[in-house]
Amino acid sequence: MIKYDAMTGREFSKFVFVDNEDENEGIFSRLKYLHSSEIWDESHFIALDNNKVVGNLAIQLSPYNKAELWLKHVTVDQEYQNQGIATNLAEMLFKYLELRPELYLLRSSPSEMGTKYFSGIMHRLIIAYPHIKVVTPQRKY
Amino acid sequence: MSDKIIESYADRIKKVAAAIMVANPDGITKSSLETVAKEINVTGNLKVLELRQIRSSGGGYEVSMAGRDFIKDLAKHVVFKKKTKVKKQAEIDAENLAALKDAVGAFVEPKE
Repeated sequence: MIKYDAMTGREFSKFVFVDNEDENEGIFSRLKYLHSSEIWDESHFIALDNNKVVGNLAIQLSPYNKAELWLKHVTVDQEYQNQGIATNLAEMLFKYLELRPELYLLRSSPSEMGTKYFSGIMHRLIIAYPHIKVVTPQRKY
Repeated sequence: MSDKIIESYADRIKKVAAAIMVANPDGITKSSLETVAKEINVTGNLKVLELRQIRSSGGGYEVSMAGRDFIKDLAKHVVFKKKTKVKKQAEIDAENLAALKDAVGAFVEPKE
């Protein structure tokens, strides 16, 4: 059964690389978009199968604008895809934004995968949570 | 001078004194004087008393004792806002984590 939790970057690092190292071996190949150099600056909503991290959604408070929250990435282990994990993680993000009304969400420009799998989820959540401000960066051509 | 002009000067002087205190609350340094100069430029080419006491000297500035006292006196008339307490990163993280955990708690997985 998938369980969910949230951690700061420091906690997440400790959880994955110290406390549950064996379960999370090879995490960077399983969770595409998770980058070791950025973990510490991010906060993470995570999906867990026992102590194995099978999905995560990373956010980061902008260092330039204290009202801005960056959605860094969403990534789910290929073996656990199509179970609604990304949807659940994204909904937690919106719950978080409800608790922090001073923040607005800045989406990152979606990759091809993001457009294919995640844009629909975001679209549904934006409609379900109309009071949450979400900003999508404009594409520059 | 009319009361209105005096009032206007008083406001400007307060700004100058505030600028000094912000730049250097413990004393007067070159950088605080530069801040003053900037403030004066912003508020208009103001030749108020305090500038007569401050003169350029070589690469730096000199302030006469009378000028120093004058500026300190000015500062006494300025009401300063209390400094906002700067939160430490640990406090920010703790607050953030609490909201993250609450968000997980508030989430109810839809039943099939």
